[in-house]
Amino acid sequence: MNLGQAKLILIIAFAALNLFLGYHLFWSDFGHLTRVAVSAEELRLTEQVLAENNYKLEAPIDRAIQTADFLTVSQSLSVQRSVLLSFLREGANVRQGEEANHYYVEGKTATIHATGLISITYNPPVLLGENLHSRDHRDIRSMVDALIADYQLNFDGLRFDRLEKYDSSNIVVYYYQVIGESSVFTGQLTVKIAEDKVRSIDIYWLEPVERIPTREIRVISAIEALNSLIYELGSATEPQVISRVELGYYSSDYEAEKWEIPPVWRILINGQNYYINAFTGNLEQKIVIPEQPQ
Amino acid sequence: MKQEKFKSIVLLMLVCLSLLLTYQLWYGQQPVELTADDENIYERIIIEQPRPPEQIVSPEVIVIPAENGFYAFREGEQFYYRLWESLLGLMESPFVREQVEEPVTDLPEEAPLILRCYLSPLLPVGTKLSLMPLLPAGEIAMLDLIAGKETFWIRFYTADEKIFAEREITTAQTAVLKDLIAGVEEEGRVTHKLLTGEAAASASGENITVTRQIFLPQEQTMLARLPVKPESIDREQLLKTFFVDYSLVRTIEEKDGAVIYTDGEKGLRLTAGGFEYSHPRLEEGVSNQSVPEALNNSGILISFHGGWPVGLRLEKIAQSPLGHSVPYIAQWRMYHEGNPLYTAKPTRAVFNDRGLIHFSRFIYSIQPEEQNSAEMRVNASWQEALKTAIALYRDDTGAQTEVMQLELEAFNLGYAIIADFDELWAEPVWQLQINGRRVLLRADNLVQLKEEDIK
Repeated sequence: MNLGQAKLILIIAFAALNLFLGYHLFWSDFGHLTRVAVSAEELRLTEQVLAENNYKLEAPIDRAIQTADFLTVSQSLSVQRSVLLSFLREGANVRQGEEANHYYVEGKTATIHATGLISITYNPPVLLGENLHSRDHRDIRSMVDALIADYQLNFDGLRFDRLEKYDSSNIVVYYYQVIGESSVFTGQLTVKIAEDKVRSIDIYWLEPVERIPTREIRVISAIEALNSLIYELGSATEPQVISRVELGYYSSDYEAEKWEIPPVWRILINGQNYYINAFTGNLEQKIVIPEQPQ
Repeated sequence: MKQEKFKSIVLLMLVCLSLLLTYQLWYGQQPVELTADDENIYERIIIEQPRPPEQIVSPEVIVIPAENGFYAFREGEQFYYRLWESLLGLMESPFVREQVEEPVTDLPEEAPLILRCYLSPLLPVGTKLSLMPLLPAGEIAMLDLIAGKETFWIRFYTADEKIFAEREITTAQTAVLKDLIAGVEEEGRVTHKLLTGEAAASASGENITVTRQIFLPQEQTMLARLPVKPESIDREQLLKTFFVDYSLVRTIEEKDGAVIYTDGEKGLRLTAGGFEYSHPRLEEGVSNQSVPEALNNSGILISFHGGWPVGLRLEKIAQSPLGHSVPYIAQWRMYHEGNPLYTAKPTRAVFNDRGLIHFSRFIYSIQPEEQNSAEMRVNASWQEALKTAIALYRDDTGAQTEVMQLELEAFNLGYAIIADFDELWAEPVWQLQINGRRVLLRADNLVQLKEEDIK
């Protein structure tokens, strides 16, 4: 073996060694670009745990690694103003209260609460269509969409959420708010229908104030959120169906100047929404406001 | 030849790279806390060192007999601190068990009292504690310094007024205390009298009993309305003491300017005057800690969450029902030159074995430089204050209370924190507590201050 061949062998050996060292040093950094937050095996195990606790997972699971930040919001004064102006244009009588202001015109009343919640009640109720209960969800939804547009309540970012039939006469149609590309489940518009007539529309709408992208951090995976929720709820006595698991933003409504809302995994079980904080894994409940113990 | 040179260069580069990567893998993969200095790794929390256990409890009042009554000293007075420090020094030296069981004393029956100290909360002493560690565990409610033939004696009483221990102190210790107490005879110092039920009944013309020791000034007193400031709080530092992962904390800005920080489980509300914190989940925990442990924990909590400034005194610590549990509640109050400062919200910690459930801290302090220019006002006498307070109490509770036995539970001068033209003031007040109800009267004109007037 001459010196040239020896050098060549050494070059190959050191190149291989460097590849090996490089893999160990840097693969974890590159890995997250290709890895998923939830492996197929983890998903299978979670489904098994859910089934053992009487829950059936029927929702698709987003398996990608995701990051999020807090979203700073305030009550939407523009939406309040637009509702208010539409009532005032019709010559509304105004009654101001400590907790809410009331606006009366013939056939409807708007109540704007201090928390920002707007409740519009119709008296007499507005007929939407005949035999709604026997109709297809899509038919009802298109009728409600048209009504909302007609009443100029189709605000920017309004998205259809779901439609629930509760008994032989009650139907509730839920909408939520989208800010930028994020679903904000705190922002809601709810249409309540009874005996084919719209009884009331509740609106809670938010305005984005600022985003803090520097605080963007990785959120927990959808299956971690599911596990947290099942831990909180415990085993179900009746079979429960998990029909949605999706990432968005949520906090309870609050009478404040502005506030930050955290990313959450919204989990819909038998028509009931649960919100798991996507940073901490805690079930989002009423915000902890410090109070003196009695 | 050229090819060989190229191979040599490539080989050399690969060898260097492999050395570099090996070094990186070997040293660069260590936990960051081992490879960098602490300054760069941890966000430092600058907190005050907790007080040693013997400095957590301090006397409610120290009295020294005077010609016509007592001189009374409370938290916030220099003389009080010097006296208490000297007395603590006497308790640190070992007391032996025999002295409790068979006190060998040459103390005459009517030996003159040199000093008396009322302790509330009670002071834990004995086994494994820093004060009198050789004695059995116990709690001291009162401490007397008594003149023996040549030296002083120190005597401790339990809450039921039984002698817990006594001993003769050394000649040197006696000399130090004699010198210290000799300095009390200052000109113009007001003497106090221990209020008895008869004196209270005679002053007010009411059927009233006094449920605890109350020392009231016998001569005319003067106090000034003083400007106060809430303590300044370093928000960032404070947040770090409550939230382990500060990045998960979100804020809510209330319309009144207060800011709430919460991670969904714990909440901290910061206002202009102080802050409140809650961790309701911990309410379900148990409280198996002993009183000395709880005292120690209370000291750690106040020091960790904002510090323990001079003039702040632990007023009470007790277990109290909250929901389904019985946590400890520790409460502090700020004093200025012996007079307590009354605020709308307390400085208080509620905690159990799982941790801190609630904490509120509203501490105001008087600026010494602004004190000299303040106008002194004459305070109404305690007799007038008592009569006015009873009349107000009757008005508030209804005429039927005339048949009710009145119990006077607290009566002292102090300051109430009030707002006037957007400025905060410490208003001199007479504070009375009758049958559990607090009455605050402006000290000069005895006009009632309502609870909602206090900040």
